[in-house]
Amino acid sequence: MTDPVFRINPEGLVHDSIGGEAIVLSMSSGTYYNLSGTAADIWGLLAKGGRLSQFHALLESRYGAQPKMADDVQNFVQTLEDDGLVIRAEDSSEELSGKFDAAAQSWAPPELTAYEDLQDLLTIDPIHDVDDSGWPNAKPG
Amino acid sequence: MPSRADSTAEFFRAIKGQFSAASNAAGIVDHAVKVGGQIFRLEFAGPALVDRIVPALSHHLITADPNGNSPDLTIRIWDAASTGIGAPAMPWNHDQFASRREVSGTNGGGYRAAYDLYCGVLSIVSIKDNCAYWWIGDSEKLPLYESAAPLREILQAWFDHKGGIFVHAAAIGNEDGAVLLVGKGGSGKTTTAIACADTDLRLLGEDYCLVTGFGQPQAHAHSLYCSAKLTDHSLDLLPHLKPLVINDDRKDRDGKAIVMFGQHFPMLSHAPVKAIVLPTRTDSDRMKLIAASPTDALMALAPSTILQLSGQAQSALGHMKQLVEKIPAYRLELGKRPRDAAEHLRRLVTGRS
Repeated sequence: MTDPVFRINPEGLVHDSIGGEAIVLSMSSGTYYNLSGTAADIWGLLAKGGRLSQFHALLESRYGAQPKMADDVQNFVQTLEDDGLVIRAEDSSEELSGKFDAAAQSWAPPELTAYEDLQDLLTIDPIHDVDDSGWPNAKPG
Repeated sequence: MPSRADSTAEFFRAIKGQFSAASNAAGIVDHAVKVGGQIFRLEFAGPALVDRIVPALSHHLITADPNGNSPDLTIRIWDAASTGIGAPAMPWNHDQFASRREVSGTNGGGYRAAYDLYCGVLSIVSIKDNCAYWWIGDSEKLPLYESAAPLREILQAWFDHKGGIFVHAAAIGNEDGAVLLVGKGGSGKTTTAIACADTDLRLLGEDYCLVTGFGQPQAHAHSLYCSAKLTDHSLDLLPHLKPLVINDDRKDRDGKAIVMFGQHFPMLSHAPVKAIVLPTRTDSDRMKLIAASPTDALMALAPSTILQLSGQAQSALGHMKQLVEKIPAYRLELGKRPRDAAEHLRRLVTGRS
């Protein structure tokens, strides 16, 4: 079974952590995300990049062995990849540590909370004309 | 082949020549405004755009700098239709036009360019030259929603350079302090802010304001525009504003009514930020103010700010994080009468319970 390296997509995202949670904004789709608890833990690991097996080992040492933990982590990272929030990388350049932003609560499967209510704020390229000097103008209507 | 930075510098030189030709043809109309402690000279080639740019900044108009200093930034403004002078040929590819009006690849070398495909508005700032240009093909085609918040990209680029950022928030307060009302459209921030500006509190801004001092003990909010954009629902709750609406046809993209609030009511120019309030609509008879977390405040403030405004998104998020970590946040469950919020907001501003 392959165990690829995953890391946060360096293109088109802005993100930060606050109060043990992560806020992520996709500049291409306008979707924004809140990750808390175990999801924020995994996001913190993805910031450095690593393999699912490494994430699983570190989370197991933090929360203890949990049924389906490996599947939960894999499914969550797959969801992040499907949304373009993480990419597969060649290799991990930083060493992962077991340090996390927030104190551990009890294990719960990681969840991605997505908000799509601001997508219409992004200007979508309208159908436009181009004047003689090359400047485009949106067609009315 | 010239680099992108070189072609932007070359374009800046070309646009300087075009403005000079436009001002020779149409004459110069000068205004000056003081915003966020900075003096901006607005130099119009001809009068066509004056009434479309100045009204939303009219509460900041100054006759001259009392100290005789030169302006911090000169903004040169013109249109092709009234002056007969267009912008220089476009030096960029269409794929450089980004979703937030930025022109990607133009932000090096002290320049920042933006182009709005909807309105055909070009903005370019040279920080090192203390000079910016703003151009549209035809002043008559500038939508009123742009007149409600004009020169955004230029002012934003300048204040980025000065350590301040635009935030998507309404703000209200008095000399003691200001409250930022944050949240997505329809949350009630505009109605609440304007309803309470009818009391001893004054409006700083309805949609955007400037925040400075993120890394300092006290952050400050500054008024940017004196306009207010209102839905029909807000107008029904604030009927005294109905005669002041300047766009009865509501043909603009968002269909909101626009009022140049500061031309009719006093506004507050700046104040220390004392609280961040997240309004929520309810049908309750009684309003409630409940403590909110910094994460809640950042989720309400940052995404809509970053998506609406061009600029350095990651550093803006970092600044907003600094802000919410030091300013207390609250959820305000609105009742049926928006003006009832004034008592809560006044207590937050003065720090007295």
